[in-house]
Amino acid sequence: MRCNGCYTLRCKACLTFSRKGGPAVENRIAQLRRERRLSQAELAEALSVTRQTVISLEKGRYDPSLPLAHRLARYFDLTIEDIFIFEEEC
Amino acid sequence: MMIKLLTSGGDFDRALQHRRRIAFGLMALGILGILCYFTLIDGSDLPDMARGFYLGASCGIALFSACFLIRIQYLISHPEARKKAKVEETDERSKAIAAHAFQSAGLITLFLCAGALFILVIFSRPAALAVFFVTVAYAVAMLLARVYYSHRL
Repeated sequence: MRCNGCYTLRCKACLTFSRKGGPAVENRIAQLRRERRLSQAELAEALSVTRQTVISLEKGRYDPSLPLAHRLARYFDLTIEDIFIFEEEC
Repeated sequence: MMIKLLTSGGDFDRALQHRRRIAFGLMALGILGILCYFTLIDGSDLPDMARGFYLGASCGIALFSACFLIRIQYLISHPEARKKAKVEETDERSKAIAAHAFQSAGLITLFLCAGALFILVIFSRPAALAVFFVTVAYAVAMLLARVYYSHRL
């Protein structure tokens, strides 16, 4: 299957290519949440989103908007780049 | 869905007040429809289907607005439920899902209408014309929306 980011077969740079129809942005939300001993519901409440959104974000099925990414970064006291891994196109 | 779409954005409490006014307006419209049915339509020469439609639509609007009003009143008087409803409504993933659903439904409708035209044109000219105009209306609406959003975004 071809990557939608760079159109090469099984591209390692664009990590997820077949599931969403586009290169996804990897994130460390689940890891950061576990480090802070938070439940998905608690994180969802803090971000004013539903728990389903947190689940989708953690699984990489849904890429957040810039305001939500900013809220996440502010909540974890990190930068957006610390949470989201933007893979370079090859 | 349409009411939520039209009143969303900005302050949620104000949106609820706005929705309550819309619900009252719809209820008045439904009651007016029912009154019109009994005073004007019931004894008229209109076909049974048309009379049934007017009564059904009026009752439906009145019933829907009553349920909608109860829900809004509940949200206004229960802060916890209001907070939950606000999160569910303003959640960006839910909005994205709704937008994708609208997009898919629109495309499916367009292609079904286009396909149905080829069959209907054989059996019924009025039905084929109706479907044709729905397809044209969809295409025009999409074009206008495209022009609008190309200036907005």
